[in-house]
Amino acid sequence: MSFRLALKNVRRSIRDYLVYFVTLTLSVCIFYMFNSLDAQIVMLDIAEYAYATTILSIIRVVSVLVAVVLAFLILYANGFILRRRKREIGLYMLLGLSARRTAGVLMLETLMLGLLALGAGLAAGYLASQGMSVLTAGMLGVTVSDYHFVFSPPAMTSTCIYFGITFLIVMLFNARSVSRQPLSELLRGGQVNERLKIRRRWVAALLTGLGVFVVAISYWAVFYFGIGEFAVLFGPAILVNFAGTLLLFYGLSGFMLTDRGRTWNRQLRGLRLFAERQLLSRVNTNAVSMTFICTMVFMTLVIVSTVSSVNTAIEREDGASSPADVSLTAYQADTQLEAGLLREHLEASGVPIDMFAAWAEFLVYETEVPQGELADASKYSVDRDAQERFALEQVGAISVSAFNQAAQMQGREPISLPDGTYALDAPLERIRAILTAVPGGTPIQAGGRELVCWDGPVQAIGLWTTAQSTDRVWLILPDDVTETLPVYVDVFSGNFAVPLETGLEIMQRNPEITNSGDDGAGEAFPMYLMAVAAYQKAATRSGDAAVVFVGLYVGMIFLVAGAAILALQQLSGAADDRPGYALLSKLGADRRMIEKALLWQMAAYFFLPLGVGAVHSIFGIAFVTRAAGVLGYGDIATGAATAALFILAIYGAYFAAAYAGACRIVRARHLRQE
Amino acid sequence: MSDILTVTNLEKYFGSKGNVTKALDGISFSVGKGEFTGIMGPSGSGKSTLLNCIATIDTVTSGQIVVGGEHITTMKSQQLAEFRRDKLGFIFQDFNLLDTLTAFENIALSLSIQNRPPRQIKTLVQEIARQLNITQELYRYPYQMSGGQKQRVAAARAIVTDPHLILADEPTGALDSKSARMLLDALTAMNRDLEATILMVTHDAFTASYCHRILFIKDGRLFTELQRGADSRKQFFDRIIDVVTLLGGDDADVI
Repeated sequence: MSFRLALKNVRRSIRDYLVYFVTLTLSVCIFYMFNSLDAQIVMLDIAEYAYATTILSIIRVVSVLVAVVLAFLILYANGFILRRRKREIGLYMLLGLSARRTAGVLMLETLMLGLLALGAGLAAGYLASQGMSVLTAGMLGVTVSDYHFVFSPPAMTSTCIYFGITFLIVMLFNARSVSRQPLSELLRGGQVNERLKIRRRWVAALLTGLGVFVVAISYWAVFYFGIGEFAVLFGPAILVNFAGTLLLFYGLSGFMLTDRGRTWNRQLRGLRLFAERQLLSRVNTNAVSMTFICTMVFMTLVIVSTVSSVNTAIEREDGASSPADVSLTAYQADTQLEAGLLREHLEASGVPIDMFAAWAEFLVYETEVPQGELADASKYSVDRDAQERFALEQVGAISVSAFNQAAQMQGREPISLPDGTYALDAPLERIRAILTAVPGGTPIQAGGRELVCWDGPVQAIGLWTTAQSTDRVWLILPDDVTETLPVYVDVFSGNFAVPLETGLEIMQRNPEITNSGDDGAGEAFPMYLMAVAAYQKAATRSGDAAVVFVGLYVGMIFLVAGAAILALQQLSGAADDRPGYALLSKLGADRRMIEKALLWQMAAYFFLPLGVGAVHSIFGIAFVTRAAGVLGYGDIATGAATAALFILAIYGAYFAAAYAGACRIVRARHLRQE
Repeated sequence: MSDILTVTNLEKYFGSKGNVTKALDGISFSVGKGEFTGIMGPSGSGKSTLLNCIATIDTVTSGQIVVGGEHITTMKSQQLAEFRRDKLGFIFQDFNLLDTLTAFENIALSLSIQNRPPRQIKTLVQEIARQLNITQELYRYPYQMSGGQKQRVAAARAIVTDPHLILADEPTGALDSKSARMLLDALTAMNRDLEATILMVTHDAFTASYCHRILFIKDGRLFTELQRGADSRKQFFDRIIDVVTLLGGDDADVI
């Protein structure tokens, strides 16, 4: 009998609390999707595999956080619904069902609902993850060798475990709440005697002012402190921001519910008065959860914008660190490196030079010109230490003929340097943006000569494939000047004429092709290193992909959680307001008036945390931009637009569902009061 | 005196197929303009159903209701809403007022639904509050008021739109005797000074004695009618008690 009762209740629950059920399913779906990456990456070529597993482990860790957030969401939503059903539960007990059996019915319901959501969510997740495979491949910049539908048993297992635990907690919670409350409380469940919190006007004004002030402090802190200090201050800053926002919400809503009882003329139109009061009362009651949602929206906006922009920026700057298929570099401490050293080394290693369709070898030199003379270090980074290092670093140089070799290999125009001038090369756009060298000016000392900056444009070519960062500027000097400078490194770059695998295989036949420069016998060997463009790209891409995936994962979960809570609060509110709307109906408000009032009220409630969160996020994004330094403004704009669309889509869907549900609840078919 | 309300052969059935309840079984009567009429009957007699039908809250199964010259029974829901808005006023037993609005705003609500200009609304509300002696309570919230005060605010709201007919469903049901008396005095004042036509449903003889005329219902049919005429209220009360005794018998629900 309990089983049949539970079954009927579940069927009714799904209909009445559709939002809850859909949220459950959605959570399971997203969770599975991101955790099934292990199956998706199996399809990728082996070169990328190693990097992709890093992403996977990061996601595993993040999943724990996500599971906690989701558990809270589900518990909150469940508590909500339980409160709605108090009278019904009281009725069971009144009819003679013992507390234990009632609890049993509830637990059965949770179990069934949970299994349904799990099943539906896994099915949806399975389908969605197929699409994700394509996305993953695209992100890592690889072609998929053989596409087929993938399924990840480990992901399914962890999904079941995490959600199983959550549902178990919910079941226990339900059971406990039933046994704890006296029957009279349960039966009276419907009547919520909401004592309005009437606030004096000046108190409300004070709270609002205080809130704005506190929030402003958190904004200011973001810009005043450098990133080094900020890492420590991050937590406190968020808390301060949270507190400020909370005060703001309390204050604003308190403003309207004052005891002076003055009604403004503009409120005396249609049902505006009622809608406004309900809205403010609800904001006041739910100020804490609204602040949470506001914070979540803010973090989501910042995260999703920045990761989307990081993605586009990184794809653009790909060429900076991987201009050639493969590059070898030779470093030596004492012996002067000579041009041609690497060619000999390659021959000695059995690598035929005609394996390369194009190649170049050149030397890179040291100068004593500090980077700060050529670029504005204060714009380089938010972190003061990083700024200092950037400014003091000595700029490297190559000869103009070497530069032209590298340029031609990439199909770019060679340059011709007039006498007495130098040119600059900065592979990354953000470095180019902070260069301060003036054409015809900014003299430097090199090789005993003074040179001025040339009239031509700053070059934007990566010189060789390297794992090191390319966020620096290079000097391009006349050949006769560089000959006098100390050598820093010898570089060999080549583009294969043969397939990549073949070329790499041939190169790695001799294990001595790279070594660490010390054979233990104390003899100073040149140190040989090799960098492969494909690996570089995969490494950057996978780092990028990791950031993007985690960002999207966390972002989606936060958004869904926030929107779901708002929707449930509004639906519950509509049920609470039902007598009020019934009264209005009796007083002659027609359906359109009522639905309009409802729409206004709900829209304001939904988009208030969204709006405030958006304002916060402007500052958040500004900060991250300066801190990361990778991004230009164009990237941010597209990233923010993507994030905004993303948010509006999810919020919009939940809002529509909540509004439809609320209209249904409020539309009393029988106006008679129960 | 023209008739504000005419009810002809009203029938209302509930339920379906094998399980039909006849709540109203062919009721006909009229209420003239300016009358203060009461409907009395035991529980389950159909008096609330009757009021709900007249109030357009419930639909009738057959029969006609004409209020102020308009046939309610043929109106669609949009028209009905407009009708309720402009031509009717309500006082219920419970949950009359919205908790989040002050007394002033509650009264003003019925006017703002009519989309009247705000300045006019303010004037009208102040005026009616003065007349019904509730100016003190105007800026309080419902939880700050006693039951009697709340009902008087509800009465003010009912009349402020100047409706054809005010319908009251057990307005003194939840009140103590003193508050009940104050409310009834207010209703009497409304009827006498503002020419409000009031139709009140009650099961309480004392409350009913304030009316000019009482219709008694039993089992969905009109049982009898009493006119106050020149009687004092006490005399009228005694006559009412007599009828109620008659009405009673084995299913009494007297006081």
